[in-house]
Amino acid sequence: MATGVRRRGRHATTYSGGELREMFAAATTWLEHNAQAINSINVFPVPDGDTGTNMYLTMRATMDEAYQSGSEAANVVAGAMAKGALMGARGNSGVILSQILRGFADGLSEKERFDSRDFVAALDEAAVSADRAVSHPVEGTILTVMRAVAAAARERSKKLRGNLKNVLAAAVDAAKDAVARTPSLLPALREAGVVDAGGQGLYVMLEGALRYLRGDLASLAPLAVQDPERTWARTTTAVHDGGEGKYGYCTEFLVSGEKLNAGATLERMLELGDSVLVVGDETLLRVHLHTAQPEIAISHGRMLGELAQIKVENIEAQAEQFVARVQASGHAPDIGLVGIVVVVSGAGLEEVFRSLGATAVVPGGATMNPSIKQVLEAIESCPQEEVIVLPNNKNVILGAQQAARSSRKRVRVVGTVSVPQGMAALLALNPERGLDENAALMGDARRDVQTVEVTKAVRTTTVGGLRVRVGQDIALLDGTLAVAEDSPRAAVRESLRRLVNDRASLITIYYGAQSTAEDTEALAGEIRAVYPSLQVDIVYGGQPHYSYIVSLE
Amino acid sequence: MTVRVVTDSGADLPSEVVEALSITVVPLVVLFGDEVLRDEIDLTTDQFFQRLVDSPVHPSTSQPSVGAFQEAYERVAGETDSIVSIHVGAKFSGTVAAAMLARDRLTAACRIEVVDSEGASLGLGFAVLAAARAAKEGASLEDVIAAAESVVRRQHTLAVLDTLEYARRGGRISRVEALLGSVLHVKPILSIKNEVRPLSRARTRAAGLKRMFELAMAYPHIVQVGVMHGTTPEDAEMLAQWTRERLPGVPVQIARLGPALGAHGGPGIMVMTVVEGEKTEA
Repeated sequence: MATGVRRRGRHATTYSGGELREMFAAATTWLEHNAQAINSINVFPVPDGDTGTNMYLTMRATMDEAYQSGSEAANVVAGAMAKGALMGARGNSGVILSQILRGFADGLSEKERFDSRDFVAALDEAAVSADRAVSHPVEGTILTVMRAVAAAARERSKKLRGNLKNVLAAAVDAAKDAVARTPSLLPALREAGVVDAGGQGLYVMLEGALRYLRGDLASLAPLAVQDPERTWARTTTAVHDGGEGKYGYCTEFLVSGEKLNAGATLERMLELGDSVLVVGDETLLRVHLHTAQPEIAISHGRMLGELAQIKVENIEAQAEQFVARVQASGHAPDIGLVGIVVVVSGAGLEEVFRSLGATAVVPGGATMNPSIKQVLEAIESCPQEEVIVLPNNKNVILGAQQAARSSRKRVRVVGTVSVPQGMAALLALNPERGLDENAALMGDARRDVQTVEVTKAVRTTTVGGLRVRVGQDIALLDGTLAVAEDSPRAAVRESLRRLVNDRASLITIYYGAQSTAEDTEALAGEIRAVYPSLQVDIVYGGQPHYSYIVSLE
Repeated sequence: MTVRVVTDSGADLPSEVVEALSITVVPLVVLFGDEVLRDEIDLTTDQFFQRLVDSPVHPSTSQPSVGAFQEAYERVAGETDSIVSIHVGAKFSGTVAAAMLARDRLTAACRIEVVDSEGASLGLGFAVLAAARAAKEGASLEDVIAAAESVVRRQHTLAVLDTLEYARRGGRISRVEALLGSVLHVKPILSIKNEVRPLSRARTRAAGLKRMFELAMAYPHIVQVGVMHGTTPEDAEMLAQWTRERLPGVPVQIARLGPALGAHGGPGIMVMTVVEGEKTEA
C-alpha cells in the first residue's frame, strides 16, 4: 500500500525500499495466482519448461533475497532482488526476467527513496538490460512487452508528472496491449492461437504491483485454502520447510484415470522414497515424494493413468552434496584441463555422460530447467579453472550463459540443444587443449549428429502445418516438430525414414523411463530390418517424458 | 666409411625402401601363447592379422632378443665402422634396452649409437629414412644421429581404433579407458609419441577417420605424411587422397602396420604420421 511521504511543494511522493519490496511481493503473489494459466499458454505440444512456473520460481528466489537484505533503502532492496533473481532464474523467461530486475536495480542504484520519475528511469534501464540478455532479440516476446511498458511509463510521466500509481497504470495498460499484439509479431504464436507466455507473465506482475499501490489487498491474499491445488502447494512447501527428506529429487505429478487408489499409490511411493504425499480421488491423484529414483516413480504413475504436470527437481539443499557424490563416485576421470558441466536428466543418461568424462552433472532438462545457481554451483565444483557447459536443451542455454558470466572461472557454453548433441560435443573433447580450442571443437562436433526426440503431445494443436492430437506420439527432428504417430515406435520409424541418408552408419536409441527394454529391442529389430547396413545400439537413458531419444550419425 | 642404419620391424617400412637404402631390419617377436614367431620372417603381416582375429589366444609382441641384435650388429660391423640403431619408443617396448645390451657385448670394432625414436610405425620409420638418406649421402655418424633425432622431434603419430577389444585383451588401456565410456561404443583417437595419450573420440569409423585427419592436419608446416593400415587399404587410400588434396606437393607414404600396433589396435586400426618442417623448430 502506498504510504509514501508526501513532501510539501512540488516534490513528488517518494517510496522506501520496504515499499518497493512489498510492491514486488504483491507482483509475485499475483504471478503465483496466474502461474497455471500462464503455463497453459504453450506454442509447442511437447512437455517443456513451464513459463509461469519458471517466472514464479525466479521471483520467489528474488523475494527471498529482498527479505533477507532487511534494508529500507530502495537501492539496497533492488540490488538484493537483482542478485536473488540472477541466482534463482530458471528457463529462458526466468533469465530475461532476472535481467529486467538487474536493469531496474541499476536504474535505482543511487536512490534510497524513489519517486515516479526514478521508477520510469528504472523501467527504461530494465528494457535495455532485457534486450541485452539475448543475442538475437525476437519481437513478439517479453522483450517487446518490456519496451512498450517503459515507453508508456515515460510518456505518462512526461505528460502528467504522474504519481507512481498513474504511471504504473499506464504501464499495465501498455503491457496488456503489447501482449495482445504478440501473435501479430511472431508467426508461431499466431499459428498456435496464443499470446506470448513470458509477456503475459510480465503483464501479470505489473498488475499485481498496481493492485498493491491501489490497496487492493483482498485480491492479493494467499490463495484460498479450499482450492485443492493451493492446499497442495502449501502442504508441499511445509514438507520442504520442515526439512524432511533432503535427498534425491523432489518429484511431483498428477495422474488422471479411473478407479485410482490413493492408499495403494501411497504405499508404492513409500517404497521409493520419503516425504510422500498422495491426495485426490478415484479420477485424479496428485503425488509428491522425495526419491533417488524419480524415473521409477513417474513410470509407476504412468501405469496408473495419464500423467500431467510432472516436476522433478534436485533438492536444493542437497545440490552441493549431490555434486560431491558425482565426483566421489569415481565416474569423472581427471581427463584434462577443462571441466565439463552437463545438464541432463535420467539415470542412464547421467551415467553415460559421466562415463564419457563429464566433471559435474546438473539434473534438468525439458520440463525442469535448472536454476542459474545450480549450474553455477556445478561450475564452481569442477577442480578446473576453465569449464565448458553443455546445456543440452534450448531452454537451458540462456541460463547456462548467465551462470557462465556469474562465475569467476573462465567458462564457455557450447549450445547443445539435445542429449545426442551433448554427447557428440563431449566426445570431441581433447584433454590436452584449452578452453577456446575445445569450445570450438565441441561446437563443430555437436552438428555431427541428427536427433530424434519422441514424446507425447500434451495438447491438440497445429505446428508448422502439422496437425497434432493430444496423446499422440510426436517426434522432433533436430528440434523441429515433424512427425505425429500413434505409437512411440511408429514415430521413431517415420523419423528415421526422413533422416537416414548414405552417410549414416550408426543409430543409437536411448530409451526413457516410460519405455521398456523389450519394446526397445523390438524397435531396434524393426530398424535393422529396414536398414541392414546400419549399426543400431540400445542404451538405457531413463529420461522422463521422452520415450525415445535417437541419434543418427 | 658409410654409416649404416639398423632398425626393427616396428618401423613398418616397405621392403623396397629398406633395400634401396641398405637399412638393416631386426624382426620383432610375435608370441601366440608359447609359439614364438619372428615378424615378417616366420609370419607374414597377412597371416598375423588373420590369426589375430581367429586365434583363441591373444598375441603379444616382444623386442628382438639381445642375441638377434648382436647377430645383426656383427653382420653389419663387417661392412662399416659406425652404426646408428633407431628403435620403437622405449616407453612402449624393451627394444632400445635390448639394442643397448647387444651393443655393450659387441666385440667387433664398430661404434654403435642407439636412438630412442619415442615412436612407432612410420613415426619411427620416417626417422629411420631420414637417417639412412643422410648416411647414403655420406654424412658423419653425428649428422646421421641428428637427422634421426630431428624427425623424432618433428613427427606426430595419431591412431584411431575401431574397437577397444584388442587393447583390452592386451591389457594396455588403463589411461585410454578413462576417456572411453563403458556405456557407449566409442572409437578412441590416440597420440602415439613417447606414450599413448587419448586425444579425442568418435562414435563411427567415418567420424573417427575424419577427426584423426583433422587433428593431424592441424600441425603446422607439414612436409611429410604417412598413412598406415592393418587390413583396410581402401581407408588408407582415402586418407592419402584427402592429404594430397589438403597438402598438394607433400609426399604421402602408405604403409602396412605390423604386429606391434596391430596386436593392440586390432585389424581396423588406422594410423597417420605427419612430420613438421624444420623451420618450425624453436
